[in-house]
This record gives sequence, structure tokens and C-alpha cells, in this order.
Amino acid sequence: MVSPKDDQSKEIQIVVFKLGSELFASDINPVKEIRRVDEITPVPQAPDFVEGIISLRGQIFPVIDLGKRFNKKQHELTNDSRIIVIDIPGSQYGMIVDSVTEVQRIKKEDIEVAPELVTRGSQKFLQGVVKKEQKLILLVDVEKILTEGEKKELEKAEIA
Amino acid sequence: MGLGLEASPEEIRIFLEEAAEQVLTLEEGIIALEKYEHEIDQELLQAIFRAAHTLKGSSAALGHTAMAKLTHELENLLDQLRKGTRDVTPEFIELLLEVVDVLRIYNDEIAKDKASDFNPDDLIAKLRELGQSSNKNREETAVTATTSKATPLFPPKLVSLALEQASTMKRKVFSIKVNLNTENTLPSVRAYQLLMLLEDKGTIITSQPTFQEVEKDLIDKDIKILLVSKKPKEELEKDIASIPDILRIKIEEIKDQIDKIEEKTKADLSSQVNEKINIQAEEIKNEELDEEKNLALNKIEKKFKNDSMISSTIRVDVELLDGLMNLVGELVIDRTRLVSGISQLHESEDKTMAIENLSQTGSHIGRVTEQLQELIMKARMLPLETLFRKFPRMIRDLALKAGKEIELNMEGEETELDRSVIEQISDPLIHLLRNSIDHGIEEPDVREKMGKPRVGRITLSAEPEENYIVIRLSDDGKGIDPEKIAATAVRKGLLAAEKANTLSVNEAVELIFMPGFSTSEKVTQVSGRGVGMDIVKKNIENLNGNIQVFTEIDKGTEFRIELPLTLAIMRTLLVKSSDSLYAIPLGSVAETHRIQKATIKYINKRKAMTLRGKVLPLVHLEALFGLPIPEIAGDSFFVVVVRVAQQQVGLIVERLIGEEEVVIKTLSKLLGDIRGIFGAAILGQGDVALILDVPSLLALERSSNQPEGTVL
Repeated sequence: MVSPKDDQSKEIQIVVFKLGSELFASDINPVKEIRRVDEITPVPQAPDFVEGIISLRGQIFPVIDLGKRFNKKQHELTNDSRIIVIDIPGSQYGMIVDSVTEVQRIKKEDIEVAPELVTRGSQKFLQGVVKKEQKLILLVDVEKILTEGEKKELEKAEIA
Repeated sequence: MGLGLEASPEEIRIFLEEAAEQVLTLEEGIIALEKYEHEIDQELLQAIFRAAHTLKGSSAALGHTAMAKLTHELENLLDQLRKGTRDVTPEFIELLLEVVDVLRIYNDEIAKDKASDFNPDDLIAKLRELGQSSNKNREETAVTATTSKATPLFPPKLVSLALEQASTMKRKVFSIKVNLNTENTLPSVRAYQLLMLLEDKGTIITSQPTFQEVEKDLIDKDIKILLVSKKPKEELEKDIASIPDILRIKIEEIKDQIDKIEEKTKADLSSQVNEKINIQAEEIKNEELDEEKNLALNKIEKKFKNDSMISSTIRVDVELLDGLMNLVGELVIDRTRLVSGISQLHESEDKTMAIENLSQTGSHIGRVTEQLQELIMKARMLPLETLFRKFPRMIRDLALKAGKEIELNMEGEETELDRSVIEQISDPLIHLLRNSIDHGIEEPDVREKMGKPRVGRITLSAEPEENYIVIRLSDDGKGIDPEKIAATAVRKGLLAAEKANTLSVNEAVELIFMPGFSTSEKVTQVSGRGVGMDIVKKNIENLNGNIQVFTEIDKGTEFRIELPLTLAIMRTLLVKSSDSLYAIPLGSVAETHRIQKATIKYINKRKAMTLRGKVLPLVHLEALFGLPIPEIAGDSFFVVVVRVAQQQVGLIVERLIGEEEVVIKTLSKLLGDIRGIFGAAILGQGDVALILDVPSLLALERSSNQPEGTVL
């Protein structure tokens, strides 16, 4: 094991997951847990990308379909599908991903600005991109999955 | 912009808690003060004065100079009142209340650490002016106009004589007024003692009573003395104070008019300087702690900008906390027993022992959690007083504005309710109170003509009744006229004209709760700003409560509000439909039926059935949410009749599961406000049920199905 002390500033740990064939990742700190997709209670009238709610140790978490959020094709639930539970103040939710592959350490300096061609309109959710063995891993900013503006838009949609 | 206060967040928190309390005390005191016509209750005055004094001290310590200055002026005025040199006038009360309001602004500033744009200069100037100018004197009118204001206690001739004598002898003239406690033994002895003492200190020009009168026991509780002396005022004051049974001492130096003005400005200046020095001294004191404080301040500054944090703290009895701790301790032990029970189950041959142990642990956990729930609920309880105490001021201000005379009686303030209920009942109650003042209580003259007392009476009471807290708000005003209500409803297109005649009195009065209804023809400043009784009703229903109105023309109106003890737990009917679980609050459920498919009727292609001769519209729960409607197997199905006000609808569901107490969880903020759903509940098996919000669900029903709305 690498001692965490001297790495803290230079390295971060990320949870790498797949949506379709693409690799994404989130900083590990906001991730509370990763769980199998079990009973999700659908919520009528909720926004499109919201799959429903789950109960987790006495708390209610909404679950969103990250694929839909990124305007990708609707995913199919498989044995590999997982819910990544994010728990930070203001953002408590689960996101469904197609599979979780690994936890990695990366150097902060290796994070690059995501080229627009790659992100195709989802750049507002992205912190950057990391190259790993010829592959690109897109770093998701989990705090921004639901941005303030969108929350307001959601509210407007409610009223209309 | 921050205030740059030199205090730790913890200190600020304590200050705010205390300040809010003191401001309330001030406000309550001032309003009580207004009611005294003659003798002012000294105890009350002391309490008000103390509050002002505490605020001054703590705001100066905190470094909020403007607040310290303001409270300083306030204290001065109150001091005059305390010493009996000022009359309570409406303007005076008004000014004091204005100060209270500004203090609230300052508290808010401190809470948010953000300077408001309020400029206190005018107010402080007003206070100063008042403080200097008209010192009360009831004898004032008796004294000739040429006499200086400060010397009305004595005939002007004697005063000028005294002044003459004093100036030649380089002495000063004092007007002394002493208030004796005449209830004690031998007041005349005390008076004699006083005169003897002052004779010693200088020359008594005149006194009332005189020595002779005192000897004959002809004394009043007020003793007035005109004294020429070279001693300083402070010394005199101290000496007089050493005599027992003296309630109040007021010593004033009398000067020639010109001197006086000069002196005053000088005194003023020096008092200002003193004040500045005081504040600076305190600042220096604080500076020693600066570094620490600054660090801490910076750290939590961000956290503190969130002002809701302040209002969301609660004081909990330590005993209660200990109780909670004990129960949690028991749960920890239970966890160990569970683990060992399970391993026992795996390992031992004879399972019965293990099962027995486990079931015992299970029932123990059941008991402990029940107690935990009870205690936690208790910790969340607050007395209604926290809400009620802001009403007297509000009623006073509103009544004044409306030109009405109103007395507010409050009962049962000690009744406890869940804090979230208290928070949310505040607005509806304020609205109802406003309505009472605006539409209920008549003008004083009108009341007199009707043979009612001029002063209208509003009574606010609270008491527990079974599982509910009942709040009653009644007035002795003009009541609600059902015919007028019905007529207005027809005119506003809320009610068909032919229907109006068939309404019972109660039904007609209930119309005030309809959306879009408001009896007030003109929009007044007090009520009628478009927010109507329908909002009040909706807010109360959101609390899972209930409101009823009772009224009698010319006798008054009473609103009866039923509130659940707590919001966090709700009794519901669990139903299942399309594989989803829904919890319907029992308060909205009228009845449930099992219906044969054959009995469904179609009216305008819409499902309905007849229930006791009335037509009941039926709707699939799924239809309300825009979900696909399931095929119902078999030849019967279940209908849950839900009602909101006059509207009843039968919800078609697949299965009734049963009654269940559920803990309410709010849906994530990320989902926004979803119409028709109140929250979620986690059930025994970890399943999640959606709790239906029946009023908004029925609104959905109205908007999607029947644009004109159905009043059944």
C-alpha cells in the first residue's frame, strides 16, 4: 500500500465505471457505496431521467439513470448493472451505471480538459479526462449532475 | 459585506439566542406598558429595563456599535420612565416599538453577518430628542410659562431666590424628589430623617412637606425639597439612598436657562464621549482574543451564512438526552445478541434455543425502538408559546391600523406540538387573526351601537384532544353571513346559481375555503392580498390537519383547527396498485368498498358509481399519475373514497393492504415538488411506499378531467 499521506495532494482515487462502451469515473470521496440494482420504487410525475427512489438505511435516495442523463441510449439492466450512491450535502442520489470496473489512483496532473468532440454536449458534467492505456476515462463531476439551473427548469416544468 | 464582528461563531450563536429572547421581553413589556393608565408596575419596568441593559452590554461586547448605541438611548429613556420622570404616551410606545423592530433587523444582520441598509441616525436622533426634551411633570401646567422646564416642582419665585442665593455663595441648587414606601412603619420618621440629613448638607429653601408637617405626621409618599448645597449631586444621592424605605430618588440640578443649555450640550457631548470610550474599552478587551476568534470566525463564517441553522437549533432537556443515550446503549447490546443468536443458529444442533433467543431479542428491540420513538418525538416538541408570543404585538399593530379596539386572550400556550407543525401553522394562524381583525371585529362605534363592548375580543386557545391538538380561534365580531357568502360565490362563478339555494348553512359557510373566494370587496392593507382561506385550508391539510368554521351572525366566528401531534409519523391506509405501494393518509380516507365491476356506470365516458344515492366519480390511481391503467382481474375491485372539503372521489386500487403507521420521509429535493405525492415511507420489509398527497391529487383530478370542477 502506498501511504496516503504524501499522495493526498497529488493523487486522487477514482471509481471507474462503464456506460455502454465508454469509461467514466468519479472521485471516490462522494461515493457512499456501490450496490446492486434491486427494488427501485418508481415515482410518477418525476423527471424523465429519474428511475425512482430507494431506501438506504432509513434514508430515501432518488436514483437517476446516468445514461439518460448524458443523452445516451437507454441502458438495459444486466447482472453487472450497479447503483453508485453519492452522498454529499446538497447531492444525495444514486446513479445507475452499466458496470463498475475498478478503483484507481490517478495523478491530478494527468487530468486534462475534456475535448469537446469527446464530450458531445455533456461537458458540463465533466471535470476532465484521464488517459489510461490508450483509453479515455471521462471524469464525472457528481455535484453537477443536477445543476441549479436544471433544478429550476424542473420546477418550471412542474408549474407548466 | 460582513460586519466584521469580533466574536466566535459560538458566541454569536449564544448572543442571538439571548438577544431574540430579550427583544421579545422588551416587546411584550412595552405592549403591557401601553395598557397601564395610571400607576406603572415597577416590576414590569424593571424587566424591560433589564432587557435593554442586557442587550446594550452584549451588543457592545459583540462589537455591534450601532446596536449598542441604540440600546444605550433606549436604556436612557426607560431609565427616565423608571425614575418616574416620564409619562407613557402613545408616541413614546410607538417609538419604543420602532426600536424593537430595528433591534430585530440588527439581530438579523448579526445572524447573516451581513450589514443591512438600515440607517439608524434618524431613530437615534428621535430618541435623543425625546430623552432630553419633555421630562414629564404633571404640575407643569400649574407653573407659569416663564419658568424653566426643569424646575416645575416649586414655585418659580422660590427657585429664582434659590438661584440667586446659590450664585452668590458659589453653590448649586437641587430639586430633589424622593418617593417613600408609605406602607412601611413610620414613614414620617423616614421623612424627618431625610430632612435632617439634607439640612446637614446645605440649606433647605423649601420642602413639601415641611418640618412642621412631618412632625404632625402629615406626609405624602412624595417628598420634594429645594436645596442649596455645595455638595455634588452624586454624594447627595448616595446619602439619601442610605435611608431605609426609600423607593426612588430623583435629583436635578437647577440652573439658569442659558447655563442649562450649555451644560446640556456639554453633558451630551461627554456622554457621547463616555459611550465611545466604553465601547472602545470593550473593543480593546476583545482584541486580546482576536486572533483565536478570527481563525474560528473564518472557519465557520461560511457555515454561518446559512441562517436557517440558527432557527433550526433546539434546546433539549439533558435528562431526555440521557434517556436517548440509554436506549441507544440497549440497541447496541441487542445487536450483539442478534449476532450471537445467528451464529448459534448456524452452529448448534438444537435450533429451538437459538430461535427462542432471537425472538426474545426481536421483541426487546421492538420495545426499545418504541421508547426511542416516543422520546425523540418528545425532544421535537415545543410549547405553542413560542408561536403565540409574537401575536400580541401583531394584533396591537393590526388593530391600530384597522382603527379597531381589540383584546387578545390566549390560553393553553403551554400545549406542546412538534416543531415542524408549529413552524407551518404560523402563517395560517396569522392569516386567520388578520381576517378576524379585518372582517370579524366591527369598528368600536358600530359595536357600541349594537350593545357590544367597544373592545372586541379575540380568543386563541390550544388544548390536546385524543391524538390531536385543537387550536381554537374565536372572535366576538359580526360573524359570517351564509347568504352573502353564497351570493359572492355565485357572482365569482364558483358556484352555480341554482345550487346556491340548496346549500345548507354549513355548506355555504364552508365556501369561504374555495379557491378564488374572498369576501373582502376592497383590498385592504391588512388582509385580502389575494391569499385566501383556501391557502389556509391547504396549509393545514398539508399538515394532515383539519379546519372547521362555526359562525353566528353578530355573535362571532370560531375556527377550529385540528393538528396531529407530530408530522413525522402518520397513520395511513396502505394500498397496492400496478405493483406499487401507496400510503393514503387516514385523515383523507372516508371509507373503502369492494365493488362489483357490473355496478360501474359511465357518465360522459367517465367511471362513476352510486354511493348512498349520490354519484361518486371513480378514477384509477394510475390515471391521475398518467400511468398505464392496469386490467383488473376478477369481477370486483377496491375503491378508497377520499375526500377533501366538499369533494369526494373514489380511487380504484388493486388491493387494500391495511392500516399502517408510517414514518414520513421527504422525497429528495433533487426531485422537486411532485404533485400528488407527499413523501415516501419505508415499510417493515424495506419496501418503499409513496405517501399520497390527497388534496393535490384531487387538484390533479380536477385539472385533468373536469375543468369546471366538481362540487358534490
